[in-house]
Amino acid sequence: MAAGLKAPLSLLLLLFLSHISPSVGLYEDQIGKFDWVQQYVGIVTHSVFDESTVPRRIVVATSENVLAALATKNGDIVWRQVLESGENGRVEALVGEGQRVTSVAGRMVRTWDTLTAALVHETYLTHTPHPGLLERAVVVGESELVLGEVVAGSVVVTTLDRVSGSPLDHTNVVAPWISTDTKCGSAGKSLVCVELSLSLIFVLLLTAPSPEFVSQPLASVGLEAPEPGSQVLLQNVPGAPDHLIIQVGPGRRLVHLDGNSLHLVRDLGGSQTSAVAGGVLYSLTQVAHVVTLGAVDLETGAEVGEQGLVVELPTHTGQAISLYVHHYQTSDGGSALRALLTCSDHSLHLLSSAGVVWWREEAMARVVSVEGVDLPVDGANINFQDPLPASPDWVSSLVHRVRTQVSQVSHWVSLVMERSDSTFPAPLHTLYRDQLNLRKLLVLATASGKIMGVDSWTGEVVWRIYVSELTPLEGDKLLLYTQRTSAHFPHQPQCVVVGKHRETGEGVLVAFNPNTGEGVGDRGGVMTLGYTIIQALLLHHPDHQYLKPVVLVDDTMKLHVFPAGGESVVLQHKDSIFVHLARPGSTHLTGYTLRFSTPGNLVLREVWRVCVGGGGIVTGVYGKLAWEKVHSPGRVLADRSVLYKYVNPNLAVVTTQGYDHLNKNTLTLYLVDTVSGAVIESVNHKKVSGPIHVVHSENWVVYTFFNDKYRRFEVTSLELFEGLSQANATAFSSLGGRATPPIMERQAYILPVGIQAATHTTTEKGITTKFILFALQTGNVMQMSKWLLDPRRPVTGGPREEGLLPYIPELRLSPHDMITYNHTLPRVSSIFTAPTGLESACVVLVYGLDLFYTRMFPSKMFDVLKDDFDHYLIGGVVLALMAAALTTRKLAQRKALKQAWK
Amino acid sequence: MLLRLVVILCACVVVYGDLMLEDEGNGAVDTYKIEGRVVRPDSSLQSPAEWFASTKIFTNGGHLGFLKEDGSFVINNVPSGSYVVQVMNPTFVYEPVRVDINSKGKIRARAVNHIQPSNVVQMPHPLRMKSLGPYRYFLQREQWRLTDTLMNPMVLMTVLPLVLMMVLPRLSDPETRKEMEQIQMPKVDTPELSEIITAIFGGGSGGNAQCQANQPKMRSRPNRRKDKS
Repeated sequence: MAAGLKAPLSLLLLLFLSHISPSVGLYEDQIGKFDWVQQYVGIVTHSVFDESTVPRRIVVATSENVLAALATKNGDIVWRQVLESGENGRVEALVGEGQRVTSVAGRMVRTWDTLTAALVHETYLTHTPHPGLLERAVVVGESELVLGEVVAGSVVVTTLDRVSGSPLDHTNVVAPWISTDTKCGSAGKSLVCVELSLSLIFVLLLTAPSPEFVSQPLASVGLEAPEPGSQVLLQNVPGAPDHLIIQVGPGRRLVHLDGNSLHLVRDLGGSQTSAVAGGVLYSLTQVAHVVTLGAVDLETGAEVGEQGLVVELPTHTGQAISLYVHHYQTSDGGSALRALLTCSDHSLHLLSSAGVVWWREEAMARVVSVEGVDLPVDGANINFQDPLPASPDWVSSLVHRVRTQVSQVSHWVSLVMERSDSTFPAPLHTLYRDQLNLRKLLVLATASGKIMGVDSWTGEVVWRIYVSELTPLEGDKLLLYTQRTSAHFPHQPQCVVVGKHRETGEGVLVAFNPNTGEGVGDRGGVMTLGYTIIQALLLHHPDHQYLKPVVLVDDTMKLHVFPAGGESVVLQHKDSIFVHLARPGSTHLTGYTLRFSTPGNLVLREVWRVCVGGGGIVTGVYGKLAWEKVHSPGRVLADRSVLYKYVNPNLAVVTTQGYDHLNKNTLTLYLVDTVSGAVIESVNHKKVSGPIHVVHSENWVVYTFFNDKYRRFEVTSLELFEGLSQANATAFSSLGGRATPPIMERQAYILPVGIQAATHTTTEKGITTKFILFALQTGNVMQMSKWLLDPRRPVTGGPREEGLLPYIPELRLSPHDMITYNHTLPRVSSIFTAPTGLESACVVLVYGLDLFYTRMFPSKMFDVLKDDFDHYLIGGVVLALMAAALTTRKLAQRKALKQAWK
Repeated sequence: MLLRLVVILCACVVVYGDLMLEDEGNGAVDTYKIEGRVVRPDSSLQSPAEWFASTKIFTNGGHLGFLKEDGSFVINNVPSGSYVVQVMNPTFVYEPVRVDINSKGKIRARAVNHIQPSNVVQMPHPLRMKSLGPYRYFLQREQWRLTDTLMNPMVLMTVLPLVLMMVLPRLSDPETRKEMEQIQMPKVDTPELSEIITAIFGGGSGGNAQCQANQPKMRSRPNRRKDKS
């Protein structure tokens, strides 16, 4: 045991020495060598074609509260302003006025310069939004702004000055029929409401001196007595502000608003979305991936066939949602058509008569879940994985070996021949693993229901799957599991995405091969489950086909296994499978066992229940990575004794937030053993508020919060130790029971900036020093060695452990530690890390609005040569030394001979 | 209706005097604005679109301010409290400033001091944000220099004895050589290992101490000799 320990400890020391050398950073010539960044804007909700600047651009406002200018030529982002998050930054109106564009978001009216992205004018509306707001209509006039706020029972119309933001006029229009089911929408200067129960349309001219609702039966626009419960949709018509599309059930009508009255213009039945440009109405119909823009003159109603277009969209594109059309004056005096189309898979297309000019994969702006999948090994190495003959006597194993090696050589020869006679690049979908497994296939599951495979070296999308009914589970989560890796040839790897159905809310599973993007099973791998999922987990134990089953718990606490054949695996390991559940907003955590399951009847039986209330509700449960490896079981103290780590793989951090009796924010962390339900430790913080980010790994927890008392961001580090002896050095048991609780060390540090997301690096064997990655509010991602957050950093003097720096409360953020260097990543939602075949390297994907990928070397590249290693210099020095040794030997011999003759 | 509300509010003030601020959060709460100006360094090479789109002012409460053409900014809709105002720019470092707004709307700006929050170093409001210089994200590649190589301790350690070894015997002056020979230490008998051991284990206490004190001296000499031969 002692000898076994010594090696890792000495290695740890060695690693620490490498850590002491101050520079862990990038060199300037390494920009873009390991990293790439992709910027996105989100789903376009408003757009303005700006012709005043050259090159032409389209100013868009998106669902991610982003205002951006896109180049019309290629779709690149010219500039981008990220507004406030949440409702305060949601753009409700976007008006173009020459080289200016005005956005109305929350209580801010901002005018921007489209050329420089500078703010021209900002008005803060001194008007408090009404509580219980259902809908808000905004009319942007020359010098004033009219807000129509729909609340239950009335509409509040407020006129505000556009320059000062102060209210000029205020009217309350009583409308007792307005309920939460009433659909309202604004068109031009009017507010239109449809109340199905009355079969009436109400129109309110907001700019009138004394506004009043005028009603009109639905039948007057050709929408006959609709069935109760049919969908009502009010759509604006871009380009024609005084028009509106009213859709009730299947009926779809374009109406024209004239003051308080409205009249039917056209029946748009069958089309999906419409827009107006230059007096021509364009209606879009879509059949599979072919979209047809039919052009109709708005005045006369005559078809203008030559102005329409038929375009085929890329595959894996969803249904069209919104359309913006613009006519350009081309240089030769003619006019050209550009149509900006957003689809339900969140892709954004610019269409012209020639086809798709460009398109952007805006689904990437809302990546929910990421998994790094190992690529398959090249054909030459696959044979290695052929199973050995059943009875491995020496003759057959020799034959096997010779055969595989011959096949490898022949494969290599054929590869060389191919390379010499074909200059075509290899097709995209044949990605192979590199020698050190640094290249990964990143599987990205997005909120739109699109699942994408991205080559980590280039950032290119290799394959796409679009599942229109898939949408994230509660809490904006999609669960992505790797059921089988590519290590089990000839079995293909398999991943599964767990989400819910867009309409029914029941569970949806998508099973696919992550290398090719092909669905596994019927219907392209999409399975609609007949129940609502409340918990899902991937078992660690594979079945006989190396497929790890996914266990799903439905809302009636029934268990389901995917694939169904995995039930035998569950039954085989039923004694060691434990499930814990914490419902959002509850105050307790419940643990279940599968021990009482019988074939055909998997049951959950409650074994423990921990009430972690204490004046708060559970806000998060953070476990550890299932496959995490802890290399070193302890650490060496100053007196050369070993302090053993408390490494409990079943430990979870449960955070609760609430108010104490003084009504101050409190945060409590519980360290709960999820098998036995034992609360190992708890930590309480008073006067702190979120957002809370927890990083949990090995025997430590690092979490950040905002300290309300001292008004600063703090990071606390906890570390658990068993003590100077280990209860059981070979295996850990949660049920074993220990005489003494683990020792907890804790220390807190001050962070100068707030945090958007945090995680830790992962490496294959866990030897490399762990780094913590913090996505800062400034948009940088910073690496910080765990040593700097060590809770054993000594506050006072005394014998010091090797490598521990004295305690300094404030952590310094050095620009060298910014792994994103001068890229700014707004709205980071999470950071994904994955190990590679190289112990020193770790791949990192930061996702949120943007995607940033890089490769990190937490302990520098201790197992490979540096990329600037000078092979020629070292070779030259060796040769020169050899030459010098030979010549000096000759000279020495000659001298000895001379002396002997004397 | 309004009157009754006021009465209830008054009761609240009496009972939960210090709760008022938080309770006001959902109702009409007075908000203030933080103003200032960001000075664009002359060394900035970015185009206007890059500069204005990449420079933003934010507080730790999530309030944003955008730059106007002349570099001025206003952060609107800020309730009373204490905020750290920072400039977000990927190229230039700006010092953050703490801005305190009291419940009457009086604004005070001061230097950020996380360790001693009560230590006040006043700064002017409207804020004037000046860059401290560009960020240095990248390490400098080591460049090969002759002086660096020569001054390297490892090189010094190997080269200096080598020089001494090569140069000293060549001092052809016979007088100096003689002097050198004279300088050489007088010969001392090589101590036998067995002798030392017997001295340690068998000898008296006084002799023992002496023997131990002599040891290092005695040991050093034979080594030196070996080197020379």
